[in-house]
Amino acid sequence: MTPQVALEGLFFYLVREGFPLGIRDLTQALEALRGGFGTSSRENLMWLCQSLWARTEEEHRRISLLFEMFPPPTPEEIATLTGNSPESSGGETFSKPLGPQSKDRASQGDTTAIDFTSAENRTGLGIPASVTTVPSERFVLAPKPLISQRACAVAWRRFRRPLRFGPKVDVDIEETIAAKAQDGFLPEPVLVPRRDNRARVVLLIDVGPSMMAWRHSVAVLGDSLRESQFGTYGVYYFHETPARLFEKETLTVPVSLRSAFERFSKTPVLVVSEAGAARATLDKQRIEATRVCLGQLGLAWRPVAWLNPMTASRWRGTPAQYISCLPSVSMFPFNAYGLVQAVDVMRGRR
Amino acid sequence: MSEPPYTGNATNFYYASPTVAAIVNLAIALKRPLLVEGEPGCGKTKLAYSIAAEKGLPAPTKISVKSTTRAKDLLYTVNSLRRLQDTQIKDATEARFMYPYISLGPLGRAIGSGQRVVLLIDEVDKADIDFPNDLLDVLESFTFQIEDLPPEEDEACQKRHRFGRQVAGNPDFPPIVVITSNREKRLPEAFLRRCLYVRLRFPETLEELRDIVMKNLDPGATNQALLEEAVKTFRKIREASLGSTQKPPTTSELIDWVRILYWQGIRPESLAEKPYLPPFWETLFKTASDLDAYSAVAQSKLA
Repeated sequence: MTPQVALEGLFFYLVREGFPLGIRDLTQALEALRGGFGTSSRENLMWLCQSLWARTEEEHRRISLLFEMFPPPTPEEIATLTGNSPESSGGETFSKPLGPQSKDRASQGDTTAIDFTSAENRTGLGIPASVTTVPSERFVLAPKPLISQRACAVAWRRFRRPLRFGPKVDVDIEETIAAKAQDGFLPEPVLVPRRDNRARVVLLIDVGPSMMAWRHSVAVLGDSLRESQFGTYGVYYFHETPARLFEKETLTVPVSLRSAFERFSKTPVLVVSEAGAARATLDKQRIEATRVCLGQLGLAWRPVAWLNPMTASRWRGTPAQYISCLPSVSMFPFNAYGLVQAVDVMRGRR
Repeated sequence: MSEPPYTGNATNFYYASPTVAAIVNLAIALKRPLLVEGEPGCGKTKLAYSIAAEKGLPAPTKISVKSTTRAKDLLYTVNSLRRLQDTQIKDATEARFMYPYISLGPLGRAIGSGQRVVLLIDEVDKADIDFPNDLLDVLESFTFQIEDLPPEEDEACQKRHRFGRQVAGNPDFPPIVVITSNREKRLPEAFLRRCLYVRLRFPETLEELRDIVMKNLDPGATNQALLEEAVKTFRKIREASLGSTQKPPTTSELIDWVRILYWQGIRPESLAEKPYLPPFWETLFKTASDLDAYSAVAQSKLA
């Protein structure tokens, strides 16, 4: 097997696995092979694939995992595949073609597959039989947040409030021309301060146990604030209802509402919480507590937008449904489009 | 092209590991930009200088990106203010045209020169999120259009500046583009896909670390025994500071520290006396909170 065939097989396998690769990536890899890169050994070929196709640690790991999953064929296997006697040349073998053949290997259950045999034999706890079928697909353990960093940046871009602020460095063309028209000569251009994003936002994040599943997604949103060049922003954490706010995710440093209000007066607020939808029970106390507390927050922080990581169809019959109907709040599902809608609310458009 | 490959070790001021050198060669062969990431002070910028030096090219054209940098400014600039001032001069006809006021920016010059140069775009993550995307097309084809120049002035501009509306590089010798990033902001996916990525890691072995320091010091600026001991002590300090400090010391701090030790005439033995708090250890840290955090860690290790 030549490295070229192995590379092509790998490429199509990765594309099926969801790697964002295009034909260009393949042609460039083949060009690199022709240039003598990645031809000396199996490790060398893996290095080439990783440096050309992987952009994150996770992708690096997945490519090396793939090389582990498909070890080089033994001389006997080559013999059965090609119908020839085992090659005696010293040339390095690269990999079996990946594709239909590889499926059998996966179903045979190699070392990386999870061992379900004890469950199938029902020697362990009484798990229902339907749960114990061996999954045909491999698990993708890469985190898939509800919202991508890029989607956050795009949404926050709608939320800019450019105001001229600071030292005068930009030329004001119109004023300069007006000054010249008035005086007839132009000693120096008229300067104005540079535009700066003065938008402000307060982010309230629910860190209760029911939000555990979305921790990664919420962290992406939190990080995006830092990267979006906001004028000022605040992040506070709460548990269930935003009645008591904390500075840390661990709910250890409490912040009085008064001091938070003083710091950010008349600021739009974005709440991230499942609002009781995860437990799927109608918790009337929670509805009431949230209603009172939103009234309180609304004194200083308006408008209130709410992102709910639970799918909208699951809000029915839970506090989320009632909270989303409150006039003081607009609730959206926590995804890219939901954030854009929430940003529109925070800009004062409903 | 029969250029000798980049080895990473042929210059007298830089040492790149073989893996890094291999990726550099791959980037040059495929004519793709090289995106370099790593801790501050690990030699991202110097990598570009070492490529230029090894390839016998002039020093890299360095573009320091600021938060206000726009991609167009790197290609060309229009001096509107001078044009406005020129309009006030009686009988001056120049201001009727655009071409006298157009000049190429650093990237534009590098492309227009048609010669092989190393182009260093430093700290690309500082700019607006649009910046890398706007550069994508130019960095791929190494051609761009000066849109502000009216087509009818193309010839006049060619005569005056030796470039026309369409600026194209030499396809055989495209600039070697090195882009550095401090990971302050995440770069767009499309941009990452076009670049070859290399992450400069902190040197793993004592020998590598020693070589790097040696290459950065003038001959006679240290002695071997002091250097050996300093590198060993530094490794301990760095390991202890990882996790507790915001910016653990890197190679650039080590080089400065070794310099100071030599100037002050510190004996190698005195470094071993207090392994976690050697003389002038404070110079390895950059903030008050890091100093406090590390000194607490060191005290507990010594106790």
